[in-house]
Formats: sequence, C-alpha cells, structure tokens
Amino acid sequence: MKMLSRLLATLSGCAVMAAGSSGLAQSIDYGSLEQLFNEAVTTSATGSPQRAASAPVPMDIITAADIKRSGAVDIPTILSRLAGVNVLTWGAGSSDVGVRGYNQAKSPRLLVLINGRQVYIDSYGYTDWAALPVRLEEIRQIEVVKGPNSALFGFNAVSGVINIVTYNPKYDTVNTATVTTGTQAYGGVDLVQTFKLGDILANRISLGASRSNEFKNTNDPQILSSSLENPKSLTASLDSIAQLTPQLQARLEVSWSNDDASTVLPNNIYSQYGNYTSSQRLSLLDESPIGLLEGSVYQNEAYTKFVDFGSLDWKNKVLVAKVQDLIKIDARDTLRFAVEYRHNGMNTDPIDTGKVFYDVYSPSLMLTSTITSKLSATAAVRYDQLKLGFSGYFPSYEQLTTSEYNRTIGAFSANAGLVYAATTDDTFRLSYARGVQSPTLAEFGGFHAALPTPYFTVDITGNPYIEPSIITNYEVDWDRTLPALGAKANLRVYYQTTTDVKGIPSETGLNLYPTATQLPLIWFQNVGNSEMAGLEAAASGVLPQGWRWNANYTYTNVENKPQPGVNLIGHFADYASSTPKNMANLGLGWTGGKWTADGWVHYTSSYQDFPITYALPSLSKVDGYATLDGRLAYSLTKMLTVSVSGQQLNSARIYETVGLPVERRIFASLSANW
Amino acid sequence: MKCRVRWAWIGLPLLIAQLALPAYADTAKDVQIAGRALTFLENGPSGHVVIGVVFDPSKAASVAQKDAVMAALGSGLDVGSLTLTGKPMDVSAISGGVAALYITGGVNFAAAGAAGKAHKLITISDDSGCVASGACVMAVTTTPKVEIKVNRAAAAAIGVSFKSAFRMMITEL
Repeated sequence: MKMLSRLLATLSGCAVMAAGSSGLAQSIDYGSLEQLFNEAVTTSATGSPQRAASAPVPMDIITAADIKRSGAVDIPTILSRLAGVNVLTWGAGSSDVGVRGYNQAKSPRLLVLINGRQVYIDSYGYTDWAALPVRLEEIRQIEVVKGPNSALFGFNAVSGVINIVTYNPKYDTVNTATVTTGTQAYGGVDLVQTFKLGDILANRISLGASRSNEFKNTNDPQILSSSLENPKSLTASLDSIAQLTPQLQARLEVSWSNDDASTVLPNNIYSQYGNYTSSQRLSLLDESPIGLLEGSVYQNEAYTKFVDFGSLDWKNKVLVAKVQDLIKIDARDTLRFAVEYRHNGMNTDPIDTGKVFYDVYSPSLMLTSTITSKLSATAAVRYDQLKLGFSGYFPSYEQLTTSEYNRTIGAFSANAGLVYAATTDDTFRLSYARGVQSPTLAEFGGFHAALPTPYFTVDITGNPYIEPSIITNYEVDWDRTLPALGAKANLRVYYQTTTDVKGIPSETGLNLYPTATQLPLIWFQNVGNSEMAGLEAAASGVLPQGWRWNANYTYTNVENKPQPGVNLIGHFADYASSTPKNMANLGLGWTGGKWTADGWVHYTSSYQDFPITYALPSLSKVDGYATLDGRLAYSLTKMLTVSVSGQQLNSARIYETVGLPVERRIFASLSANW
Repeated sequence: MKCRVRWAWIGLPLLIAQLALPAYADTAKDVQIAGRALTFLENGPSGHVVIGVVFDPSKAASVAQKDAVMAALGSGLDVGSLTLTGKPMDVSAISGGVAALYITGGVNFAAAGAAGKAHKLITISDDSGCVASGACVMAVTTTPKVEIKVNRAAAAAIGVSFKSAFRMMITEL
C-alpha cells in the first residue's frame, strides 16, 4: 500500500512538473552504454534507456553479430529464428512477419521502425520488408518487443514492435561493402560509408541493390504468371548528426527506396507490385537541465501499385511531429512526457475520386520507478484522438457520402509492468498492456472499387464506421541466467484478447443492399472478438572451444469469437485456423581462428490458410515443415571475409504457405570492412 | 621423489597466482568500468586521466587492492576516449592533481571522502557502503553483473553531474 501511495504521489507530482516542459529526445550512445554494462541496451520498452534484462516488457534483441552470422540477405529470415515470430514467405522478395499469431498477407498488426521512425506502409499498415531503407551491415541491433506497446508508440504497435537501430555516425564508424551472388540468379550489392567532418558533423550513407528470379510456380493454376514478377530493390539512406553545442544535437535522416516484386494481397491473390518510398526526418536533441528534450518532425511518402485486382495505385503521405521530455526526476523515478501530432492521408483507388485522411493528437506519459533494489514498476498511458475526414466526392451510384467521414475516435492505450529481481540469476516480469489498432486508411475508405459480377456490380469500399481493435495482454515472464553453464533462459506465458477484430470485405454477403439508383455495397468491417493464449521458451549459451547454441519453442492457440452471423472465412479473418500452434528453432555455431560456422533448424506445425483463388474463399491445409539453414565464413584478411550460406538446405522446394513453394537458396558473399 | 618436490615448488607460485587471479580479474574489470563511467560525466575529463589510488599502508588487503588497481591501469588503460593511469596515494596524504580517487577496501571511507570533497575530486569504490555513507560519489562492481551506484548528495557536494541517459540506468541514492 505504501508503494502504491508513493507511486501515485510521484505520478501526480510528475504530471504537474512535466506540464511546463516542451519536448524530449534521446541521443543514446548504445555502444558506450553496452560496453559499460556488458549487456544490450534498449529504448524500445519505455522510451527511456534501459538494460535489456530489466525492461518491463517481453523483448528479444538481435545483435549485429547475430545478423552477420545469420547468412541472411533479408530481415524476415533473421526474425524467423526468434520465438513467437512467424514468417509467411510468399516469394523470393515478399514476405509477411507476424509476432504472436494473426499473421496474414499484408499483416497490419506490427509496428516496424528504424531508429524510432515508422517505416511500415501506412495506407494499409503492412511492412514491405524489401523496401526498408536500411542495409544489414549498418544495423546495430533489432529490438523485438512482443505484445502491445501502443502507449509508447501509438497505432500498429499491437502484436509487437520491431525497432531497427542503426549505428550512430557520431559514435560509430562503419565502413563496409558486400557483394553477394546466389541461386535464383540472385545478385546484391551493399555499401555503407561513414564520414566525419571534425567533431561537428558525422554522416553515414548506405546504398543497396538486389535482384532475384521469382520462385517457380509448379502446379497452381490460380497463380497467374502475369501476377508474378522477379523481385528487385534499390535503397539509399543518409544519416547526419551535427553537434550544434555540447548539449544540442541535430539529426537529419533521409531515405529512399524503390522495389518491385510479386506480392500477395489480403484476399490471398498474387499481384505484381511496385513500391516507391521516401522519408525525411529532422530531430533536435537537447541535454537540458530539465531532462533529455527532443523535437522531431518527419514525413513519409509511399507510392504503391498493385497491378492485379483493379490495378490499385495508392499514394500515401504521413507527417508526424513530436516533442518529448525524458527526465529522471529524483533518485528513483524517470518520467517521459510526449505530445505527438500525425496527419495521414491517401487517395481513394481504383476509383480515384477523393482523399481520405485523418489527424491524430496524442499526449502520452510514462513513469518508471525503482521501488526497492529488487523491484521496479513502469506505467505508461497514451490517449489518441483521431479526426477522420474525406475530401472529394462519391459517385452518385454509391451509398457513401463525404459527411459520414466527419468522425472522431478517441482511445486510451496503457502499459504497466513490474520487474522483480528475485535473485542474482532470476528475474520475474508481470505485465499488462492495452493496445489500440486503428483502422488503416484503406479500411476507412482508401480502398474504393466497383466489382462487376455476372449479375450486378458491387461496390467494395472502406468503412467510415469501422472501430479500432483493442488488444489486451496479460503476461508473466521468468528470465534465468545459468552462469555455470554460460547460458540464459526465459519462459513467457501470456493471455491476450482482441475486441473488434477487423475483416476485409466479404463476397459472401452484402453490407448494404442496392437501392433504385445505387449499387449494393460490401466493406471492411469488425467481425467479432478473439482470444489467444501462448507460451514461449528460449535458451541460449556459449560453450568452450568457441561453440554457441540457442533454442526456442513457441505454442500459440487462437480462439475465434465471431459476431453472430459473420462468416470469418469470407472475411479472411479465421485466425484460429491460420495461426500455427507450434514453432521451434535450434541453432548451433562455432568460431575458431579464421573460420565461423553456423546452422539453424526451424519447424512450423501445420495450419490452414485461404488458398490462392479468385473464387469464394475456403480453407486449405498447409503441412508442417522443417528447414535447415547454414553459413560458413572465412576471414581472408582483417578486412576481407568470404562466406557461403544456404536457406532450406534440406529440400529443393517446400510449401510453407498456400502460395508459391519456397525454393532452396544458396548465397556466396565477399565483404570488406575498413 | 626429489624431482617431484622440485616441480611442486615451481607449481606453488603458479597455483597461488591462479587463486589470486579472480580477485585481480574483478579489480581490473571494476577499474575499467569505473573509467568508462567517468566518460558519462557532464563536462567530464578527456584524453590522459590520472586516477589517485587511495590505500591504507597498514592494511594488507588495501595494499593488495592498490597493487591490483595499479596493475590493471598499467602504463595506460584505454577506456572509450580516456587513457587512464594511476598514482598511489596514502590515505593520510591525499592531494590534488588527479581526476578522481579510487578508494581501496579497508581505507577509512570518511577520511578519504572528506579529502575527496576538499579537493573536489570524484571518489570511486567497489564498496557500496562507501557510497551509502556519502563518503564516495560512486560505487562500481562487476560481479555477477555490472552495478553502478551514485550518491547524488556526494556528487552535488563536489559539483559533478552525470549525463541523463547514464543516470536512468544506474542506482542513485
């Protein structure tokens, strides 16, 4: 009770104190802090720098060394080796990543960031992994937060957050070039260069290009050859930091990407796909007497083309401005106060008669408190007020009006966690999270089509009345270090509910019946609730003679709770069937002298998904599968490393999804560091 | 038999050295981490930094730790942007001319702390008691994991403060 009173007193005191402050930021020298504490450091849990082991949320960190040894040429392959992560590989350059169930084509439940800047495609909330403007060689670490964290990050942070943290050009010098070739006529070139102008200006540029042949369609007549495209991508980015005064830094991040691929739409049909993105962010970071102050503004643009299914051509612009203060207000308490504004808009398409947009105003507050030497508590809350709007017009044959878009949605997000270090080796974590998944712009109205059928034409549109999904997560975690074995292990058990699960327009029933002058309509809609229970167990360690190992197991069980009369299959929302119940990974590696060798075995149990078809949806079984990956590297000199890696070495082709079979891939790389 | 005895004599110092190794190893790590912590001081030192290693010549443990610290610092220990060297200081003769004081075990904390405050020097120890008492500004231990404690009042008394990110990751008293 004393603790509670103290926490409440501190919170109320902080609120008063923070009300007068303006903005915050964190210019964190991850490298120095990691060397100081001899463990990974993160800001993705609370916005405050923390040792990963004491973060109040379930989190995994993939280090630069892990990435280098992965043998992967893309981020999804690296993520697939974590507990709780499911990757749907649709083609050689297209995949969807799900954290803790609910994965699907163009999955909109995951927040993906680069240095805290959102890089998912905001028109539909999905991530185009090939278009991320970051090269593997410039990544310091990938922080994977499991479960909702929208009290810190806002919308989309509901199944998890993946924050890709790059090296900081002010503190880290990274110069690399890599040339990769491989099967499927794969070719890739990466260049990362850091250059500094005295102590005042530090810059890093990265450039990357890759191409590959698409996997072959062996026997599915529903996958049209005209829907497939050989994947290729180009990316470029600049990260500049200017030290304006000893306390004040300015950071400019500019990026650009262009990629083409075969992709799979949310209704599980293949499409040729093209995506152009650009982003500019300017941040000011001030180590001030009232804490770490940050002000930042960024704009993302994405021009996305889905050639099939009405030749969608979406133009999306997002503007985000944020001020934040992070302050340690006394010996025990750290407070984070932030205000964020977001404007997000896109054209309607394929019937391009208007623009749907929203403005979001979001104050948020976080307090982390050291209650005793063994017990710490964190509480965070955020309120999002979303004002929806529509400019343009609807054709007279449609039943929607622009005035229906004059709508305001308000929602609270919350995170709370207790971390108890019971012994020097055992840490327990109890957490609660309430996340808000806003409908995407496409779901509100960006998707706008008229589909002719043999009997009549149907309007397929977004829905101005669709409600946000609310995801609530309850979790208990146990982390244990095993010093005698040079190992550590963790066990995570959680229960999660989702209310107002969203579904795509279903052709199995009309939402609005036709009138004398207007077409019938189907639209995106809430289809019911869902529950999930899961368990993740993971362990890793090092052994004498240069050996290392890791293993993890994931159990996930989703239960559908549909609204009466709703056919979940018709809405592509049968997550109980489409979420694999069991997944496991095993990794073994060795480094000796100039040689490094690593191998991984992955297993995913069988599940059901919606077959690739233009006909009415149904469910089809995808058999469980196992894959074997490996990498062998040799350091020619201090500067040069040559490596050979393989993915799915155990089989030439495996049906991992209802789409194209995934093919065995072999890569050979030559890397130079200077 | 003679031969065995001779080999045993050769082996004994090696055994002693091995037994002593963990203590030296911990001290070396403690000193290295303490040095890194200095890089998080606002307007902190840079380049070549001399640490005063405070010991009590009447206490064997203190002298042994002083020797271990001096061995760890050697002719110059590079930590981040700093190169640390050491200067042994009898607790009864603490002087200025150094950037910080490393207080070895067994030293009278109160006396060493008072001298540090008088010379406006940051005082570091591997003993949490020194920080809890307010004599030391900072305690650094590395086993089983890195723990850093800072006494805010002691730091304020000599006019030093640490960077915000660092403060959020340590224990302040």
